[in-house]
Amino acid sequence: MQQIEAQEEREREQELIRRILHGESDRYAELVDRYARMIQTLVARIIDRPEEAEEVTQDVFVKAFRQLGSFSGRSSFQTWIYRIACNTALSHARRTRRRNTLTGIDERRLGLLPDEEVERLEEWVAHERQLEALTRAVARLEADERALITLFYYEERSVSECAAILGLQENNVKVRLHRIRKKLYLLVMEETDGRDETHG
Amino acid sequence: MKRMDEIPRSEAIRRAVDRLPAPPLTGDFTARTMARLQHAEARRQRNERLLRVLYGVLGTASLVALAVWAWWRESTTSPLGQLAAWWQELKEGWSLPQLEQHLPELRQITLPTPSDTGTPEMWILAGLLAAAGIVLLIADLLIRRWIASQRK
Repeated sequence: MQQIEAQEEREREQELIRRILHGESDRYAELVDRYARMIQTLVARIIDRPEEAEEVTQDVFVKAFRQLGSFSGRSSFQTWIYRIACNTALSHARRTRRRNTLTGIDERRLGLLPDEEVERLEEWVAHERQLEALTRAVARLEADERALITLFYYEERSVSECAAILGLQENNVKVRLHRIRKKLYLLVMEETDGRDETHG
Repeated sequence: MKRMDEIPRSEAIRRAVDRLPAPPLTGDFTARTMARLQHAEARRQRNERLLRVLYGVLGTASLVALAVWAWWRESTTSPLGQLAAWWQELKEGWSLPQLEQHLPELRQITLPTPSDTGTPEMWILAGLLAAAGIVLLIADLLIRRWIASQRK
């Protein structure tokens, strides 16, 4: 039932896009209304300056309008515009990159960290203070890493959707997610160890 | 050992991402976006028009410059040009004895005939015209690509 509704929605959207391309450009406002909030949420989590998210979201819709003719309909419009949003937000993040977002985690440490230990993160973050530490660790990740975890963990998209949106291979997405979890664990541990030492 | 292709969902990471600051959209976002789109589209069309005019002016100017240069070169090196120079000197005040001295030479002057197209000067001219054509084609290609990139 849900699949039929999704298919109908997709057809309605494609019809709307056809009309926009045939000169009814004012109707693009319907697509902006429908997706603006989602795009803004995604963009704000990828870029380093969330206060600039609205401007970047506008850039996304301007780019999407210009490239609308190249939308083939093979993927859903949402996946297509998400891809533009991720690319635009990542370019913005590269331009405005803050030095202190660099995590400086040694690759060897990531490799040596056992998977079982990383799984402790779930139970460990039950307390408010630890959750704050994890939030700070997420903010310190690279923009492309934040894009991936926002799509996978926050928006609960599948690995294949994440791959389609970010233009990566599915295996690459899995490897990256695995690596990001370890990185977050190490960042949280580093921060809390440091704090404990300061307070202790 | 856990397999790599089993990526578990994480409530902790989801909550952490949820806590990242995400300011809400302002109320008139759609209206402002549509206004910006119209403005951007108008600017793109204006730039495209300007470029076409510039291309036309540059193309015409380069053709005129090439023609002038070819005429100038022809007028200084060819027999016809020498005749023009002699005529100029004559108008400026040659004396009759000098004219008599040069009269026999006049009979030897031959006007250019179609067989003269094989002279090196003409080949150079033809080569330059071809080069100018290629330059204009490349300029056209570059401008079209620039216009296309502006649309993206």
